[in-house]
Parts: sequence; structure tokens; C-alpha cells
Amino acid sequence: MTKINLYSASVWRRCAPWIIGIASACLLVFIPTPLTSVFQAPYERLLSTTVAYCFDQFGIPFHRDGSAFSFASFELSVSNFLAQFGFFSALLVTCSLALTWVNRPAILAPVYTAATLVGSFGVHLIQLCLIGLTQQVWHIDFASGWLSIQLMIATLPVAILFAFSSDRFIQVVFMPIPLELSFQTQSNPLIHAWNSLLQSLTAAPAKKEASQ
Amino acid sequence: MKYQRKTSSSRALSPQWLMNCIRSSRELPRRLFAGFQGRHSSYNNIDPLGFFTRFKRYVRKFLRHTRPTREEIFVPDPNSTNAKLSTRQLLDPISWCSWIRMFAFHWLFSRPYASLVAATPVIAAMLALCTVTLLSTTDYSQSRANRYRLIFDQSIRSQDFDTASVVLKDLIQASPQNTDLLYQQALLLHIQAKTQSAIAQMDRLATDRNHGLASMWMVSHECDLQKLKSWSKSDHARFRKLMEIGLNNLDGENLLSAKTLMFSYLAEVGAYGDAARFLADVIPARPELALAAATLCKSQHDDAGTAKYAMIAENYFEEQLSQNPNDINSRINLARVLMIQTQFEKATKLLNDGLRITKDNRLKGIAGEALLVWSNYLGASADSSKYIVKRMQILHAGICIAPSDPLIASAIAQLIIDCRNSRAPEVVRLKEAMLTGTDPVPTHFIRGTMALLDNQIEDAKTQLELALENQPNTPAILNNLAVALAGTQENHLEQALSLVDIALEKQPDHAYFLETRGQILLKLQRWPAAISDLEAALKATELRPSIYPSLAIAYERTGDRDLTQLYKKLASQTIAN
Repeated sequence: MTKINLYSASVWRRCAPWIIGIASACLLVFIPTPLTSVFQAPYERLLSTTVAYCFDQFGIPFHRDGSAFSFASFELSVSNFLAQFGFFSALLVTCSLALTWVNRPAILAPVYTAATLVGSFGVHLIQLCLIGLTQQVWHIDFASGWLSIQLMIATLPVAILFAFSSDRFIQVVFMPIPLELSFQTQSNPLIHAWNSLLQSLTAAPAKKEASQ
Repeated sequence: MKYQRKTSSSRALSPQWLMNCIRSSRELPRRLFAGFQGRHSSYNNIDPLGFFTRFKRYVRKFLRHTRPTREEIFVPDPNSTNAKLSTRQLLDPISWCSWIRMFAFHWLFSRPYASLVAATPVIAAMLALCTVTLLSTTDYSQSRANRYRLIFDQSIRSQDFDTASVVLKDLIQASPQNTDLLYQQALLLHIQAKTQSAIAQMDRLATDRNHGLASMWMVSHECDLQKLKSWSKSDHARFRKLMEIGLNNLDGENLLSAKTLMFSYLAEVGAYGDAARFLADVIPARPELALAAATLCKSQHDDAGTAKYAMIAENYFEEQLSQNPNDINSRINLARVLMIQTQFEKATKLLNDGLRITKDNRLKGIAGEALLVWSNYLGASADSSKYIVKRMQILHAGICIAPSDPLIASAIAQLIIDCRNSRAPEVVRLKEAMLTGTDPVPTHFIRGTMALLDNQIEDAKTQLELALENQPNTPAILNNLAVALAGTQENHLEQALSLVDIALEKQPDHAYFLETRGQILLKLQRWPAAISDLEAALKATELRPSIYPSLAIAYERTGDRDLTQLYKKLASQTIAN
């Protein structure tokens, strides 16, 4: 019977993403309000400003009061739109679980979270612009009811594409540096630290070599 | 060729060929779904054109990501002496600079840039998002406001008030101190039938921000000059306050309109001194108001002003009439101007010409009025006795034009009563002509009044009852009939009282009617009521000789000796005078 050394680095490396994922899920489930108030308000403000700019570019006349938009025949509230899907908590939980699933280094959790935030910002921007345009041009309300779910499903491919693409971008940026057998490289502590932190991003060893 | 064709057809129909066909048809589904690649995976078996296979290859190529293995990133022998660092090296800043430089160099040149192909969507999205976010945080409010003003104008033109309302709300948010925008918003609310909100906003603008146009809107909405007589004191105060705001804060054409309105109001309420202030500004721009100005000056006994404005009005209305001879209003106004200038003959001729051209009944009333004013003008002159025949001729002409005009009938009655003792043949002829030329009602009234004055009470009662039957509730007939009834018998006093009460309901402050009621109440021995009416009637000086003795009797019966003595003394003085 093999013993598992709980204090070994390899065990910790393997378990860390799961621990972080479960911990952040618990955190978000049990204490959602403070996090929401801290992160969601600036996010909402910036999203409203950007959406307002887009509406201006599309030539849709509106009146903006904070995150509430009044149009000629309808009203749109960004805060209500975001609250509709419990957006922020869901976002971080999904991000943590995805990280755990694809076995990414735990240290990159903030980077992935930031990427997720940017992605969600883009998707929300697209959704809000589509809601405004469809209401203005065809008088179809995509902001509530069954149509809102349809809109979410329609923009899901964009979100998935963004997620995969951002994962690749982060992998490229945070790829470990291959060592050369020169004295300067071997003795560089920065490279060693970088590689040891991000070693899970390396390729798996070849099957033949593993069997040997 | 012939042989070969035969041979091939025999081959085609041979049993072997048929067996081959059957075998091929058995393999057909497999061939169809096998794909051109012919690989061993089950996936390819359902890919007839090899599309999925090719797509998978492209995706793999696109997503190809070359990563170093774990062996490549670590030193093969960690215990090697080359990899160990001394404390001195770790504390050396120059070494750290070198390591940082080496790290940056190796990091830069070890990136798998070919793998970035798959990251192009996120790079493009990030660039787009950054650009949009940066642009949205810049200040573009000015260009936006300009664009929104255009949209507002367009939406107003196309009557899209919902869009206009939204745009206006945004413009107000951008510049909350702009009262013109708030005024437009209030107008928009009014158009959208949100009247209460519109009134509240206009009121705030007018009273708190001194917005001239808002105050004029409030005036037009709240104050109806047509119902000026029913205004309360607070209505007048409100109107004056709003007009003051308008006059102080408007300019150009709006200011002129405000001045015109204020002038009309002041002329209407009889504040001639205040109204005259606006004449110099208003009349040059609005010559149609010169008639009102002339009337105003005449009431103020300003002969120079009357002549000046009457001249302006005459020129203006003459021009209007020359352009359109069928314009009744211009003709009537010109006739009024001529009446102010005492050119009655010319005015009458003008109106008669108008009647001949247009056959408009309005002109008849004005013509009658002109003749009446002419008659009164002659009657008021110093040597009025010379003009009795002339006045009768004028009034006769007036009653021929407007037989049912009560004012002319009253004037005729008064004139006939005045000269009832005259035996001059011309006067008698005209008197009879007038009495036969008028309507039956004035004729009965005149005959009844004359009989009353001649103390023929029964005749007077009969004639006046006939007049009242045809024209009930006429105050003058009611009063004279009450006098006749009061003069006949005691038991008709209550009926007389009820008749004069009806007359006083129509004209509550009429001194003659009050005197009649006072005398009736005196006969009914209702002393306090009689005193009240008789004292109220004292304002008519010509009635005082008949009122003083009655008051002396009333006060004597109530026991007030001082007042009894006073009124007896006044009565004796009046008789002596």
C-alpha cells in the first residue's frame, strides 16, 4: 500500500486548484453581497458608460440616469439586466471550476478571473447593444422573458470562443522558459522561480519515456 | 463498330454483370458514408465528403500548441555545482540586473508565437473593447448635445413626441440651468396631454426662474380676458404678476405681444393711466389697436391723443377697406373711429354703403348705435333745444334701420317724454311717426310711460302690461309698471314690489329702481328696508327732491328725530331751490 505524503509539493500542486475552486465557490455562495457591492458597482458603471457610447454610435436616442436607460418606447436597466443572472457570483464560480477542470496553475487564478471579467464585459456589451437595437428597430424586447434566454444562448458561442482564445493567450504569455545548458541560464533564480510556479503548463512526457 | 455495340449490350445484360450490380448495391451505403479519406475511425464512416475530417485537421492545425516538456524546463542534475548560487551572488544587485535582463531575453525569445494564432480572437476583442471603453470615457458631450438638438428638431417636425421627450430630458441633464430647454419640455408635456405636469413646470419656470415665455404661457392658459368681469382680486394680482415677469424678461416680437396684451387688459379694466404707457410702443407695430387707444384717450379727455390715434386708426382701416370692401370688421371699426371724430354723418353713410354692399345684419346694429350716439351728442350740446327736430329725425332713421334696438327705443322714449308738452307741428308729426315706426313693445312702453307721467295710471298700467307681455323681464318696463301699480291701489303693492325686485336682480345698483322699491316699501310701512333703498338711491341727484320727504317720513316713524329734522330741512331747501 503506497503512502501519500500530504506535505509533498506534488500533492499540493495537484490539489490546489480544487481547493481554491471549492473555497471560492463556498465564499461566493455564502457571502455574495460584499463582493457584489465591491466589484459589481464599478463594473456596472463602466458597462453603462460603454453601452451609452455604443448607443450613441448606433444613433439610438436615449436618456441615461446612472445605469438606467430611457428610450422613446422602452426602458433598460443595466443593474436589473446583470442581476437577472446573478452574474458576478456565477462568473467567478464558473471561472474557478473551469480552472480546476483544465488543471491550470492556481497562481494564474487572478489572471483567469480578469480574463473572464473582460470576456463577460464584452458579451454583456454585445447583449445590451442587441437589446437596444432590436427594441429600437423592430420593437422586440430581448431584455426579459423567454427571449432573454434566447439572447443568452445566441451569445454563448462568443463567450466560449473568448474563453478558449484567452486560455491560449494566457498559456503563451505564462509558458515556462526552456533551459539551455549554459551557466548563466542554469543559475538564474528568476527563471527557476517562473518555471517552478508554472510547471503545470508544460507538455505531458511522452508515453514511451514514461513507460521506461 | 456494329459487332462491338452488340457485344457490349450482351455483356451489360449478362448474369455476371447483374450479380456485380447487386453486390455493388449492397455496398452502396457503406461507400456513400465511407468518405474519401478511408481512415479507420468510426467518425469518418459518417462523413461522405470528408468535410468533418478536413475541419478537424484545420482546427487541430489552428489550435496547435507547442509546449516544452517538464524535462526541458528543469536542470537535469539539480545537484550540479553549476546551478548552485552563493549568498554573495544572491545579494549582488549587478547579478540581479543580469538575471532580469536574461529573464526578459529568454522570456521574449522562448514564446511559442505560432500558438498565438488561436489567441487572435481575444487579442482583437481586447483591442476593440479597450478602444470603445477609452472612447466612451472621453468627453463627447458637446457633439452629442449638437446631435441631440438636431434629433429633437426632426422628431418635433415628424411629431414623434416620445423621442423628443427622451432627447430633451438628456439635453436638460447636460445643462440643467438652461431654462429654454425646461420651457420646451413643459410645452412637450402639454402636447402629450400631461397638463398638470406642464402647468407645474411652467409655474416654476415663471415664478422661480423669471422665464418670460413661461409666464406668458401661464397667462394664456390661466387668464381668460374674455371673462375679465368674473375675475377675483387674486386673479387680477396673478395676471399682473405674470405679466410683469413677461414684460421684464421678453424681447422682440414676444415683448410686443406682451405689451399689447397688457394694454388690452388695462384698457378693459379702466386703468387708463397705466395703459397709456404702452401706447407709444404698441401702436406703431399694431395700428389695429389705434381705435382702442383713441377710445382710451377720449375717456381721459386727451383731445390731442384722441385725434392722433383716431387718425392712425382711420388711415389703417381705410387702407384695409380699400383692399377688401366686403370686410365688415374694418368697416365697423372705421365707423367707430369716425364716431370718435364726431363725423357721424360720414360714419352713417359708410355703414349704409356697407349694408347695401354686404347685407350684413351686424352693420344695422352699428348704424343704429351711430345714430344714437349722434343724437346723444346733439342732446348734450349747449343749445340742445334747437336740435330736437334733428334728433327726432336721426332717431327715426335709427329705429327704421334697427327697429328692435332697445337703446334706440329708450332714447326715443326719453326724447318723446322730454318733449311731450311740445305742440310744434313738426315735433308732433315726428313723434307719431316714431311711435308708429317702432316695434309694438317700445311703442307700448313709450305710451305707458307718457301716461304715467300724465298721471293716467290705468292707461299706463294697461300699456305697460302689454309691453311686458311681449318682452318679459325688461327692467325698465318692470320698474315703470311697478310705479303704476304702486300708484293705483294698496293691494297691488306686493305685486309692484315683486316686479321691481326682478328689475333689481337684473340691474342691482340702478338708482331709479332702488328709489321705486324704497317708495313701495315706504307705502308698505317697512321702514328700515325703505330707508336703506332710498338712501342708496340718493346717488342720482335728480331723484333727491322726491327722496328727501320720504326719508323724513321713514325716520320720523322709526323715531330718529335728528335725521327727521335733517331730511325735512333738505326737502324744504330743495323745493325752495
